[in-house]
Amino acid sequence: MAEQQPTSDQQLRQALTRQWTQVLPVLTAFVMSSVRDRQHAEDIVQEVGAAVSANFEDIPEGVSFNAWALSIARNHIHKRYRTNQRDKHVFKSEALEALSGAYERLSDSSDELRSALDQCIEELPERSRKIIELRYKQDQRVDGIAAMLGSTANAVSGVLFRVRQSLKKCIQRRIAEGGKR
Amino acid sequence: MTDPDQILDQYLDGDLSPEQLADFEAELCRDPAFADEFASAMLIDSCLNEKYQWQELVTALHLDDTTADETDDAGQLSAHDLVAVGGYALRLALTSKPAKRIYAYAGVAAAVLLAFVLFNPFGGNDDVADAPIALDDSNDSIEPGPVGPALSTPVATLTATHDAAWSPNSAEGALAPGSQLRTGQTLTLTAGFAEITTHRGAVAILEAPATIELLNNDNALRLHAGKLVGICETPSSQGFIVRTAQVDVTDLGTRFALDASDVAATQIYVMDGEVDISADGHAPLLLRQGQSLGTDRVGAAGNWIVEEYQPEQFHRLTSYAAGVLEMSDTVQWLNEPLDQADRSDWPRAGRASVFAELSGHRLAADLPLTHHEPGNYHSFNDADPSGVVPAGTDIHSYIVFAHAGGDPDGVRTQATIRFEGEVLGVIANRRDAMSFTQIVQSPERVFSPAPFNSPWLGDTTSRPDDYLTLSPNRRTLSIDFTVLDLSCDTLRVIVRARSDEIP
Repeated sequence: MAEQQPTSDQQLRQALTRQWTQVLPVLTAFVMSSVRDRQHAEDIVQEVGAAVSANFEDIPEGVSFNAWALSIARNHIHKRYRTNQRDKHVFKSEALEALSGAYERLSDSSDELRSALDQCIEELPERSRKIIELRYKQDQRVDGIAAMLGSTANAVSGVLFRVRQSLKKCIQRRIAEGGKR
Repeated sequence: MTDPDQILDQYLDGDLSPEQLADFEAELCRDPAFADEFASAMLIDSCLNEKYQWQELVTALHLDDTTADETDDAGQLSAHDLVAVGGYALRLALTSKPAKRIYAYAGVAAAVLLAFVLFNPFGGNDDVADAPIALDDSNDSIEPGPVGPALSTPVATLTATHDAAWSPNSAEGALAPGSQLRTGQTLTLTAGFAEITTHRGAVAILEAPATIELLNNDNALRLHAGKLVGICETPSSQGFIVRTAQVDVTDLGTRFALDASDVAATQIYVMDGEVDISADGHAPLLLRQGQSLGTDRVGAAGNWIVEEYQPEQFHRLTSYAAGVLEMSDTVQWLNEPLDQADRSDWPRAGRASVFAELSGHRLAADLPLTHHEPGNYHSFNDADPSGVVPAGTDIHSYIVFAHAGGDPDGVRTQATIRFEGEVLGVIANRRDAMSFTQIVQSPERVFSPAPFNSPWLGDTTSRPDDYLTLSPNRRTLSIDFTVLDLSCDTLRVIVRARSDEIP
């Protein structure tokens, strides 16, 4: 355990802020992957934020911030599942372990991924971008988008699938190109 | 399972049946690659949510997105940070029904306020502790208030020098190891090297010519000109700040090198760990191990450009920082193990190459040596294996090697290396020093417990064409190797470390 007695509060707070904002997308994705109920997922992320803030100075030596924050998230998901069986919890502990490992592996490249995503969205055809905006900006479900566009849910699902595949390939390509430079 | 991509997509849209969900979960446990795919897909989904909801907030609150990335006036969380911190409350607000949004945005403000409270765990009612890190050059008080020392108080110690000479204006009295350095004091190193340790334990190693100034802070200094290596190996030293004309570099527990020789630019190279780079007009940048940044290199979007590392720039300084005081011109220093070295860093035939294998390591077991007494050696295959460095000894270890670059006639390499510490001995045999998978060590490494006296690779002839000399004071090692074809002569040098060099 760290034997620190820091007096430079601003530096620590900045470090905490920076690391938290960096891990947040990955941590959010992890919680949303594991807990289907959106409200519960939001609550968990807030709880994890509070726990990370309170214990930031006690990160065990040799453990990365991202791994530590993800482990706290995992514990909070477990805890919520234990205390409230009615929660729409999706994955059990073994799957959570596997998932948190996957997100930990991913966390180092999340910045690259986010940067590539911005560029790849710009490359999308207008119609594809419109579908993505309806899905994420207006938080519409597939059937809602279908109703708005006068289409069918199956057709919208098909378009969303192709757009996500296109984004995924574009991101992979851009990250690979970045790695070569 | 059917097409994994299709299944992932159905999951994202909430279209999986309970049975499919059970299969999905089983697949996650069974196949790490599938878990990775799923994590990537969810992260993209999450980023899309964040991106579009951020845009909507900008529109709704009439914020200028171009300024949103900048640190606010208080030097605290940026608007982006706050949205990220309060992201879920924000998301809740943005996904509320339109009629309720005005209340929801009030909820965002509450989330932002919560974020401030949440991320001020070190004294929320302490106005001074909340003071920003000043970036105003007119005021060098990086961190005023109760945590900053008063003017002219000692904030650092000159802990070591090597062939150092100082400008006459540098000090009120003679500077020598042990001298206390005070706030506001400016030191100009005109020759040699100097090591300064802040009272928080951060180490700054300077290479002449260099000028530094001690700031009103016990863990920060200004580098006006020259080169510096920063080392933060203790928790209390983390957050060490080096300020140059262009940037503030905050060490987050690492080793990094800075070059401010050119007043128009600062070059930064992270040897280990990571550092935070900040400056007016730029979003903060996290620079990680192996990355390099030139602050004069700014892209079209106003962002700094992370560059390829130019290894020669810091060789002399980093070798000194690793305990090598002097090297002949025929020695090439590598900043990292050979198998990790950039191609441009690879040694030329005819030059000896050296890198620090372990810096500050306490031996977990006795370490057998093949040569341990001062003297000249030209026979290695029957070397005396009786020398031992006992367990518990604090050491540095270095790898020295030479190769022929494929020359069938052989290439001769003559080189001399002077170490700061006492050379306890060398290991000059094939097994312990030739396998790169074995010589790239972690701190937990336990050296091979028994010597293995096979010939050096390439030394298959009976002629004595390799010579090794350890000086009487045990500080200087000279080699005279002749290497043939594609072979390579290698030895591990074990040097005693100071106890204060062990993390």
